[in-house]
Amino acid sequence: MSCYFTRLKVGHPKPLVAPLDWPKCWKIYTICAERNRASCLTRKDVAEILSKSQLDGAAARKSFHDLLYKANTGLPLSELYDEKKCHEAHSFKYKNNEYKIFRIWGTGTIRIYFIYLEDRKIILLKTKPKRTDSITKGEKEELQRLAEKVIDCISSTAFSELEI
Amino acid sequence: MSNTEMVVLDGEEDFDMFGELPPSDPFEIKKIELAANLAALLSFKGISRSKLAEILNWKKSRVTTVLSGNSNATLKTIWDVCLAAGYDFDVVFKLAHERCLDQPWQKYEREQLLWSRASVMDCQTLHKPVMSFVVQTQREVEHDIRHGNAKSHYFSVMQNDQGDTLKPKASFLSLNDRPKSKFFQHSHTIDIESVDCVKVDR
Repeated sequence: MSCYFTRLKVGHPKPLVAPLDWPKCWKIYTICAERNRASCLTRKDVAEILSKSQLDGAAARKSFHDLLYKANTGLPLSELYDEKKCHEAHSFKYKNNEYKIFRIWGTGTIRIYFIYLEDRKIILLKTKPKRTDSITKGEKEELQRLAEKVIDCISSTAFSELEI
Repeated sequence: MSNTEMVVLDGEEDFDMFGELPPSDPFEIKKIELAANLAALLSFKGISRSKLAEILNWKKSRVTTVLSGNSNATLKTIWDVCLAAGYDFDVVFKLAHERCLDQPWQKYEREQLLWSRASVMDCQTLHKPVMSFVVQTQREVEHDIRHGNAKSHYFSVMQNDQGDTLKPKASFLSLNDRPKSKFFQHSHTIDIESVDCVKVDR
């Protein structure tokens, strides 16, 4: 089993950028289904959002910009967002450990779900518009499946960066 | 056991998830960046949004708006927030995506707001007169020095070469004539155990 990650970068026109890294910043990654960046799950989420609403698509872009700048500070994300905008969405036990999935309520109705990993890494799990605050059992299961895949990958190998 | 590989993809190939949208307005992104920095400054200083509203006599909704990245914050608004956090700001010109200066949270460890709960210790020994000590962070000491409020002496707690703190030694040091100097002259050295201290919180 292999899992691939790519750094979240947003911007238009090109070049796509993220704020410059420094040692204590949070680094945001998205999961790629295959060994190419075009297969990243966040890109699929965004494509689905844009297929239904350009307004939600613009809101997602703005939400990512906001998250990138806040993550770059290296400070606790929950303190950089309004108290209702960033909190735990779901917790679960897996392989004798407890894990938490967090949710950011971005611009408009956009919700961004993610987990924290060691060495100041944030892995995006799902991005979607949502009209209600609570998440369904099905949504929790979907998020948990993605998180477990990431955890399995992390637990069995070191997180290393390669240039493709 | 399956061969697991974790790969982070990076390189020249860039893809734009939002290519079908009109280009981002750079000013809209700058507003987001500014708001994120203001939020970070408040977080670094341990000032909650409620506390900021109280300090500035704002409604909480106004704080939310200013820190949302959606508003076109005026210079006065930025100034008010900075002042509430005990900071000033400069306008520094740079090339796009170039980092110029580090922000406070990149230069210093996050403070525990000793300023707001500075503890003053009144100490005396059998042979020395009563002395008053104020506990300060490195930042607070530097701030005092820069603003002409340096104390006459500073009491530094040191560790031995092995990093032991069981019996720390302390040295009285005097500021020399160069208050901006990183190097202070340490004079008389005593054991902390030889000083009886009574801690008074203010």
